Amino acid sequence: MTRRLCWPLAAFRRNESLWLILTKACVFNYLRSAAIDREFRLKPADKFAALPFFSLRDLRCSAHYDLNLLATAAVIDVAYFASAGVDQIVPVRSNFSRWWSWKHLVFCRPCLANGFHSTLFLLRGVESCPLHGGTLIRSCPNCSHSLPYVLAREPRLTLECKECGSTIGEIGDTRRRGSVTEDYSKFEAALRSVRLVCETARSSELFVFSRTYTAPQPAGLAEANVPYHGQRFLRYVCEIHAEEANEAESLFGSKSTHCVVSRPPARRSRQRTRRTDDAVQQEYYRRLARLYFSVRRRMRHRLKSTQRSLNSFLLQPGGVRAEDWTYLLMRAFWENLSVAQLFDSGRDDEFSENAYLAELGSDIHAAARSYFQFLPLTDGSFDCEQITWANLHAWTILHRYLLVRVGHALRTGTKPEQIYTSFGSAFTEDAPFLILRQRSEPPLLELHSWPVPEWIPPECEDTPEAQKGATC
Amino acid sequence: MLAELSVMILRWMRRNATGNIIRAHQRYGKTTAIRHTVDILRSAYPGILVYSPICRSTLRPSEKAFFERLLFWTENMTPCDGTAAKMRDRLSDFLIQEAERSGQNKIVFCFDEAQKLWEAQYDWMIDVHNELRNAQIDVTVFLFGQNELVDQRTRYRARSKDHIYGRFMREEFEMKGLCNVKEMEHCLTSYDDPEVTCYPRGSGWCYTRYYFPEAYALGWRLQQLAGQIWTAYEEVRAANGDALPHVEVSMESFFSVVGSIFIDIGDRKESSPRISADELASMVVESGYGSAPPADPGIEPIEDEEPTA
Repeated sequence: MTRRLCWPLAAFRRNESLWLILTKACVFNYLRSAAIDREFRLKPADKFAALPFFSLRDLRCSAHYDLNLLATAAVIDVAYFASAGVDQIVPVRSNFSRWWSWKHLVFCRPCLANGFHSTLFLLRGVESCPLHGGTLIRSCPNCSHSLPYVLAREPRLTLECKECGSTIGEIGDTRRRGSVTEDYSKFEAALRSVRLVCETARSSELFVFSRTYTAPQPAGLAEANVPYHGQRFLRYVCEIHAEEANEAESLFGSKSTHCVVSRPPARRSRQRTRRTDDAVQQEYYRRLARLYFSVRRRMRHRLKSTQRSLNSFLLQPGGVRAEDWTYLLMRAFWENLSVAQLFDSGRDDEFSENAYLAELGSDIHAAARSYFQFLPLTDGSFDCEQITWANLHAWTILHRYLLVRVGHALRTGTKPEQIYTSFGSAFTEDAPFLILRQRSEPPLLELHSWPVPEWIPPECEDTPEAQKGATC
Repeated sequence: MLAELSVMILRWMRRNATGNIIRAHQRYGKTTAIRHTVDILRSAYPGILVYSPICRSTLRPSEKAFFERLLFWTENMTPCDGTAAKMRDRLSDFLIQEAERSGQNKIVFCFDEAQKLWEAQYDWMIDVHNELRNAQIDVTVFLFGQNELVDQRTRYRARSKDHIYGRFMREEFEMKGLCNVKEMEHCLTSYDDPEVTCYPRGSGWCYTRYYFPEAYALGWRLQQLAGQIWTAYEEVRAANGDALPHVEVSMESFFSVVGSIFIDIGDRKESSPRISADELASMVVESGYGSAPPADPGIEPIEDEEPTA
């Protein structure tokens, strides 16, 4: 016998957040949250196995609940709950809360009055409702206390601040048909874009966003910052969809081009490097160097081989990721410098730290030389001025992504020719070509690369796309 | 009997009756009739919500227990949670939503053992009825119970409890057993027809063919025993004196006798099964018809021991 809940179809819509779904389920069934938890929450062992980054009562994690059972009890398709949790949209990793979503309740007042709340509002970077375009409410207007994103003991349709008791919002009772005037199917497009961004970021650490997204950027943001910030990118997605929903003139022009955007950062240290200030960049490198040498001092007996050194370096908690290595390598590569030379541009009064940097650069350079053979650019027409900090970083990550995939393919016995064929067909439009040749003795990978496509400025929209020619 | 009941049920439904009584003696097949009623209603009104709660004996009526049972039988996910008032609200809202989804604006309750319902429970049922009527949903309550229901109806009428009498007990239908040999023959024919009763399930065989394969192949049918079985019932009735005014066979007794024929006589593997009158009388008595079954002659009665001084 399949037991059911009172589930007024008019009151529930697709892409609602788990918080609102469960709140409505409690309210419409005259239940306390304990009853819902008892019926639908998974056992603690299952929960921990599923997603260890969430606390037990964190409603951002839909994996804590048996959504299939909930859909059966509600006699609806489980696809209704496809966006119930943040974990269904963005990749779940460590530092999840810090970089991807807010822990407290964020909502759009008009949406809530229509009985709608989406998980999308919880994503960091999303600052406006994709449908209404209004600012999201994050805290009590009276006392500025944030609202916890948990299910109340006895959920009600009125949101009240626990600190000052004032009413912050009202969940619309939409049980009667026709009580919702907004078309929330428009929300699907925004969510689809966000999911595309996040899914691609989960799988490849890089996403190619194909839509109307040419320059100019919104005022107040440096060009270099725009593609860097996944959070801000989510904001743009919502703004774009809000413009479309409200039929306003698009802020981002009308020509559709591809924009390559790197994955949002996972550490605060990376955030510093996004600034174009050279001093900050140098500071970041110094920090890398200090970390590197501290690791090397403590674990020198394990660092006899370069591979071990690399692994130890990467596995340090809070240490440097593989992207950082690749970043340094690729920056040196594109600027036609050795890594040591790249680090050697510090000021004289910080000689000791710059010595660290130079030594680190030498180590990295040596390590890179042992793994990759960087062939020189043959045409010599490479213009460093055209490389912005943004696409340099993006293409660097793309390279790393390709390297990971190629390395995996090589380990699984795929021949280099087959790899080239597969990658050539996959990235003919959006990525630089990459040729890898494997030598058995000594084990060496030859990396051949093509120039980075140009960043097309708005006044040069009619110029041909970046040339893609073999350079080696 | 079920055909007559079906006609009556559908007539009541067409008239949008709020509730009526279907009564019978014990073991006459009321619970089976409920299942039949559910099938009939679902075929006549596709998607209609039909619930068949079983009433429990209680020392006194409890609002919470009543609505908990109703929520349970209406397949609510959380029947036991909340106060009685919340249970009422939950039940009403739940039934309204279920009715909206079903595409029918009717809900039918078939209360089994309805003679156990208290007056207060009828009042609560009236509340549910009124709330659903407010949402344009018709509620029909069929009270399946023993003949005691008629006495209750008389009492409610005498005490001017018209809201109960007029709403749930206006008309009645009495389910009778097998009253003549023709009805018994009709029932036995079902065992001979593989389209009506198939055993084993999906085999395309009828019960008679399964238990009497040789006799069935030679053209023997169970319905031929109808007269003999009926005579056995009459003999048992005569042996019991005038306790029973006329022969009326309850369905449980009848099924028991037929089962005994299949198992006991079927084991003989005869090409033309013969059953003696004594055997049939024994089966009838064992089926619970008339008096208590006689003591098993194979077991000696235990002598009572005298209490020691």
